[in-house]
Amino acid sequence: MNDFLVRGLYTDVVDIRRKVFIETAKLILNNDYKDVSKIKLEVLKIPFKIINKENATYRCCVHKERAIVAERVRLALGLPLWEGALKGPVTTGIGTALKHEKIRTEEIVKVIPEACEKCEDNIIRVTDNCKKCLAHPCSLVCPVDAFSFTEEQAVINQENCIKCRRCLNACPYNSIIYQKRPCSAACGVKAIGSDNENRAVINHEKCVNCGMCITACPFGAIAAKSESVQVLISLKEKRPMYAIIAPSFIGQFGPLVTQEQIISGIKKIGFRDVVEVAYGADFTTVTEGKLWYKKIYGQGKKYIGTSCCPAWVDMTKKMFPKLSGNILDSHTPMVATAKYIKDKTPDAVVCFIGPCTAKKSESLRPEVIEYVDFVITFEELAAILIAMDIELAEMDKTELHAHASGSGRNYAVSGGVANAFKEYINKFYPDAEVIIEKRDSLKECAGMLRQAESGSLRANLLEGMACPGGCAGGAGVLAPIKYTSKKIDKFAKESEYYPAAENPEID
Amino acid sequence: MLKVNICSGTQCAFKGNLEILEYLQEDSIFKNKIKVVIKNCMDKACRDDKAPVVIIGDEKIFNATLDKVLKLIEEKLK
Repeated sequence: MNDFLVRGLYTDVVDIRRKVFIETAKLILNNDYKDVSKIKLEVLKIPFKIINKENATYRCCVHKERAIVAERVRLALGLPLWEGALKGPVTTGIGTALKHEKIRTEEIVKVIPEACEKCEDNIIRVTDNCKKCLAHPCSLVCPVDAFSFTEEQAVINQENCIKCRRCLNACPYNSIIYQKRPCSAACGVKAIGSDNENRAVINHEKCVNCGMCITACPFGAIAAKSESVQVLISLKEKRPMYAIIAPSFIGQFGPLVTQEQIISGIKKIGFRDVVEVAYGADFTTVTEGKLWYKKIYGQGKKYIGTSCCPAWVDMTKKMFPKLSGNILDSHTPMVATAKYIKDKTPDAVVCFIGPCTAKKSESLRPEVIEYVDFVITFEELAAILIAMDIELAEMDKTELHAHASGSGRNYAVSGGVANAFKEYINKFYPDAEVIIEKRDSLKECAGMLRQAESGSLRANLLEGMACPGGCAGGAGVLAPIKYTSKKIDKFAKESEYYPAAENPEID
Repeated sequence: MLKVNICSGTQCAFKGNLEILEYLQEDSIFKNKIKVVIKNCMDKACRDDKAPVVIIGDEKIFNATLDKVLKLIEEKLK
């Protein structure tokens, strides 16, 4: 609930993040990117453009606010964090970002240490709602004598407290709360710990880059590395750029903008063509539907998991290595779509545009790296449109390439992938029985895998998605989740054909 | 019924109007008292960094935020 509220609002965290994306896009568009010293000067101005007040609004002082913006700018450029002047000035390494290839690193989601306010994790605390009542049921139900009383209120001795939460339910004034760090509460793979200053730190061995902590942190202390600067440089160099756009693009740019106008807008930026990733989803449905049948009915596997959400696949590999054979690993919709373009145009440079930060990590997989050159989010795309002063409502309503089926377009919502599989399997393998189990957060996905492992699950097709509601709830979206889901449903139903197998371009 | 025009042009949508729109559409307190209208780029009113733009009755709010919008609606409904 709390998570939903923070996500549904345009907070100052979102505002600053988007301003950074707009300013870094302008940096490349309005300057000669080969003039590194000029770019360095301009980079130093960005924190002052964004934090342009005399007094601090959020932190101790404007200097700290600007230092944090400077770190965000580095991540937006694709660079590692600065983390202090001992290694050089804040512009260190900018030359390496000013090229037409992305900077490759597995560390995509990062905590900006200065921005982390060290909030307490896993703690039970008495709030000032406490009346220090005569009954004090809190201390009566406490099994470890953690309570004492000051003149005003009850206090919990944290060293004794075992977090049993009995006191929470006992207090008649609801004055006792359990507090988890918003970032670690949002993390489904327990990848967030603390450094020796008690600031949040991400364990990249465990992290699957889903980005949910980015959306959860009320201080904006977590951010993802971007590739949009390198995309813009590629466009400036007139490389043969092709955009592939994830099915959740519908409705992301305002209710009155049509899908055709979004595609025209992307072409106006300089992309030669735009292909829906829903086309690749049709390919995935058909190839992996066949594989599902082979593995369940031929090889005697009890259940098979879908492949398209990279955070879910990576979580399975990292947390349940024994089960990785149960997750499909053929080409995901993103890869299938990129391959479709590169088969036709071998020198094409493919940029995936989607809701997802985990796709940035998927694009680094050895089997993917040759197909997908860049990954940016809808948020990063919108920042480019705004930096170029492109108004989508004024774009042509040119014809949409009808590349995809309705079921492929529905991949973006929870349940959509499994339903597409089921429809395909029912048609081509009528003897098979498909039983679906689906989850749409990594915590719940892990629960589903535990059940599968223990044999208590009847399902034979597991759909895992890391974000709430599916891709529509990804960390890089613009539109509210419920709204996007409705729009996707409508768009899918209006498709020329619904089943993946009816897509004439799929063999 | 108080008319609330929300610009959903690319600038305004990106800078917070999608969230303001969603909030007003879901808000149960102003329900039946306001009429939310989605507009496409109202004569570039947002130029010079004034996005997002919301018009409540006949009053324009520049650099609109949810608190500004709710406050003005509350005032106009008095």
